[in-house]
Amino acid sequence: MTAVAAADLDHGALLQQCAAGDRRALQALYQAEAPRMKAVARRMLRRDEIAEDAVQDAFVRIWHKASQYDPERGSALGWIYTVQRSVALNLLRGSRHEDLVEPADFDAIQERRQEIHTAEEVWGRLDASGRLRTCLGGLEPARRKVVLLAYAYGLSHGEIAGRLARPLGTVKAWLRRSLESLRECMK
Amino acid sequence: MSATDLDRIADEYVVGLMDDDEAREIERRMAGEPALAAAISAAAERFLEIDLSETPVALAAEGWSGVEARLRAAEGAGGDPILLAAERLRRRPTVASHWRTVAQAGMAACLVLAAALGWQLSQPAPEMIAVLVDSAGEPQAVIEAFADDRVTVLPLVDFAVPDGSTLQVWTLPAVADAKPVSLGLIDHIARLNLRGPDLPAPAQGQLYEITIEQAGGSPTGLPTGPIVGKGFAKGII
Repeated sequence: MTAVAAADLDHGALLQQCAAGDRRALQALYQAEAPRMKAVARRMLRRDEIAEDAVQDAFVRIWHKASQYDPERGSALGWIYTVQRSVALNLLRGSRHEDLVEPADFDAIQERRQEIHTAEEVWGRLDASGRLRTCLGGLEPARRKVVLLAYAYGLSHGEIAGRLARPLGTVKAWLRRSLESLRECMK
Repeated sequence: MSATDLDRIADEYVVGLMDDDEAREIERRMAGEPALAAAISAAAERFLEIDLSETPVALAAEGWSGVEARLRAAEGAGGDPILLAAERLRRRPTVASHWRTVAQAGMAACLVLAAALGWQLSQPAPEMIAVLVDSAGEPQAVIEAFADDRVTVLPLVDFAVPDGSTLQVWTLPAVADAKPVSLGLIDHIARLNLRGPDLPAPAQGQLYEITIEQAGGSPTGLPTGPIVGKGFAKGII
């Protein structure tokens, strides 16, 4: 198979071919998107081999659910990444319990500081003229952070409260209002 | 449900604020509720740029063949998660505990099927397969026996082996007056290849079992400790 630049790939057509049982279409999607999907999974799951697992699981799901993709509703990439995120969140939720308490060891503290720090970087690397960047920019930094910690790192309400040393109720309220503002802003 | 409620739920699903049960419920409803599916698509589009701005990372060399193997395993049973878990176990048995609960939740029949599928993928094909079950009938491990006296052990659960103990794998060749023969010791949870002594070719109905023995193996050369699992060999159809 010849490599196709991701930008030239018609993801929607490939999903339709997957739905029709064409395994080569799935392979083309894999070649084009799996490396970036793994980056997303690794950001959330942290461990490389678990991220690899998550990507393979996602492609199995993409294969079985490809017929559910409806181009009228949204982009093929949006659908594909929703599947990948769902698999990763599933693994994440299955492998831990809520930790509201302080991190136990130094490495864990460092890792969490890193997450909080990189949440801003995630925002910073978005297209400066894009609506997401602009609308996130309209939120107070602390409220922007809770959204990014949830979306980018898959942290639960409780985990975010623990990381930011804020009451759970506050974090829930921030998230609810921040998501509302984003919906409004991005209309 | 109002459009605002749908949007709120869609956001919570897409951002990842739901627990597993809630998320599964949403995924189930999506198929029959176009408005919900549309709200989720819209929410996904809002945040997609965060994921698309990630820098791609290197995949494992065998990544695509891993996808193919999982698909083959799933095809036998309509994508049953237990099959996927068993297939993953076959391929990468030492990693992660996330499959374990899934595998343990499965029924014996599914696992036998999963195991059989697993074998069909491996080369060369084993002569016989035995699914070892515990006293409650729960599958504990799968043995694949090859013509050259080699056996492969695929643990299906994380055996709790007390300190100072080891797991020992046995077979009772299906010939008259045979005694149990040790095939080897297992000291960690992984897919293992054991080379047994020179034995008759594995046969239908041949007993395999795993016992807990003192470190270094049974002092008598025969199984003495508690049985972790036992099962009879069956040929592949």
